[in-house]
This record gives sequence, C-alpha cells and structure tokens, in this order.
Amino acid sequence: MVYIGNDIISLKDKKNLQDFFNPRYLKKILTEEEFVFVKKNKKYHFLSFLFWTCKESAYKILVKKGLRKSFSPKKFNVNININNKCKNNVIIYGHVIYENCKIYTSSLTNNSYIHTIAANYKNSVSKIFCGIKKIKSSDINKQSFYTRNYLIEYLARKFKIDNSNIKILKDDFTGIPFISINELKSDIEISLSHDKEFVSYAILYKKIIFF
Amino acid sequence: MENIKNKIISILKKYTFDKKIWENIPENPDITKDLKINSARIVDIILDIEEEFKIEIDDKSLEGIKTINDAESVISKKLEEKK
Repeated sequence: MVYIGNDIISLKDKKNLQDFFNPRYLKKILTEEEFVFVKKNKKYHFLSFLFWTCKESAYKILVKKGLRKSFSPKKFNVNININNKCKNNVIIYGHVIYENCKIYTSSLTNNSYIHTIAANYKNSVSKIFCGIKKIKSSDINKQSFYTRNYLIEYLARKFKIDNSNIKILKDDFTGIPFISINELKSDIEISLSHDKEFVSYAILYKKIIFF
Repeated sequence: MENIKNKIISILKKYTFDKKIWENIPENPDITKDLKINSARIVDIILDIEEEFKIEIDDKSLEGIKTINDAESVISKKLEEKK
C-alpha cells in the first residue's frame, strides 16, 4: 500500500524561530548526528526546520501503516541530498529512516516556508499533487477548517462536482483523515497540514476515478 | 499522583488552543487526538514537564506518552528512579 504524508512550517513565525534557535528544543528533535550536521552548516536553523518537516511527514505515513506510538522526533533519522546547497525555491530530496522503514521525501523551500511531501515508495513521491495557500493572519484560528476547505474546493473543481458532495472525515480509531465523495469512502490518499499562516494538502490518486 | 496529574493538566492547558475542549473530554484523553495539540507543541510540553519535575524524558519514554495517564506514569517512574 502506498501512503503519503506532508508537513508545512512557517519560517517567519516568532514562536517557530524561538523554538528552532533554542538548542534545548533542537536537542529534543534532532539526533546527535543531525545536531552536529546542522550546527556545522551556516543555515543551521533552516536545516532544523527542514528536518522537522521530513520527520513529521514520515510519522504521518507510519501512523497510516499502523504505528500507534507517539511522535518521538529523535527516532527519525533524516538524510538529505545537500548538493542543492539549501538555496531558496529549490526542491531538496531525501529520505527518513525509522527503525526498519524508509520514507522518501521531497521538500520545497523558500523564504517563507518549507513544505515536505513524503511517500513510502520512492517513485510515488513525484506523483503526489499538492497545494499550498497563505491565509489571512486573522484566519489563523481556523487553520484546520481552511485546510479542509482548500482541499475540498480543489477536488470539487477537479471532479466537476459540488463542494457539498465531498467530505473529509476522520477514522474514529486512528484519527487518519480520508475523503468521502457522494457518501462513499474514496481511495484517494490525502495528507493535510497547517502552520500559522500556511495551509497545505497532498494527494495521491491510487487509480483513475470517473464520475 | 493526583498532584502530578494536576501539574500535567496545567501544562497541557497552556497548549490547548480551544479552552472549551476541557469541558467535554474523556477520562483519559489522548493528547493529540482529544486535546487537539499538534506534535510541534508536544516538544514544548516535554520541555515544560522536564523543567517542572526536574527529570529527563528519553526518546523511548516519549513514544509511550499518548494520553494524560501515560504522561503521569512516565513522570512517576522517572521521579522514583531519582530517589
């Protein structure tokens, strides 16, 4: 089974900057090797943000695969292709190892945010569709609502159906979101994320759907 | 034990965006699912717990904290080890 995850983080948010410049916080989220690697780099806080989104995206996939443990970021080892030199507006590829699982990542970076998409199969990463939107700062309290609506609007346009026919529901037991179209559970693989002024979704169509 | 639980709750309350959520929660709420606290804030919570109880939560223990009762038992165990 192919599973996907995504995670977005705002690079301008005060609280995020405060956390990711705090060595105590970083030591809780980065492995010792990652911490040394990050500290050696000029853009060390940028790399910490990047590693975080890779770990979060990977965790979302592992939960879908049946992991029932809490997110312990240091148990996720991130490896990135640093040939890109971590410039702005580039995509950085990498992978995350958790125990015997390998998750593949692709991260879009710029001055405002880092957005990572991930899949448990390497060739699936390039097939993921995603959307990123900036919401008004006054709407930040409704991030979850806006993230869902953003995805519903996209799907309604794509399938030429009314928004009201699409619902994003959550599995009662796992809390994993899924798409229901015309009251039927679809097999479209989705992942939602939001952070401060940014909302994002990732979608993978497992097969072509006709209405 | 009750004292530990109350301290955990007051730390968690700092990170629950919707304060009304506390009015109708299960007996042993899941921190992310029931209290809607995202994983980035879990790190803040762990740092606060470590500071409050003067203990260190290792990565393996962190994986086991899904609910308030889980947090309570990890903290009690760590406090016991300190004695």
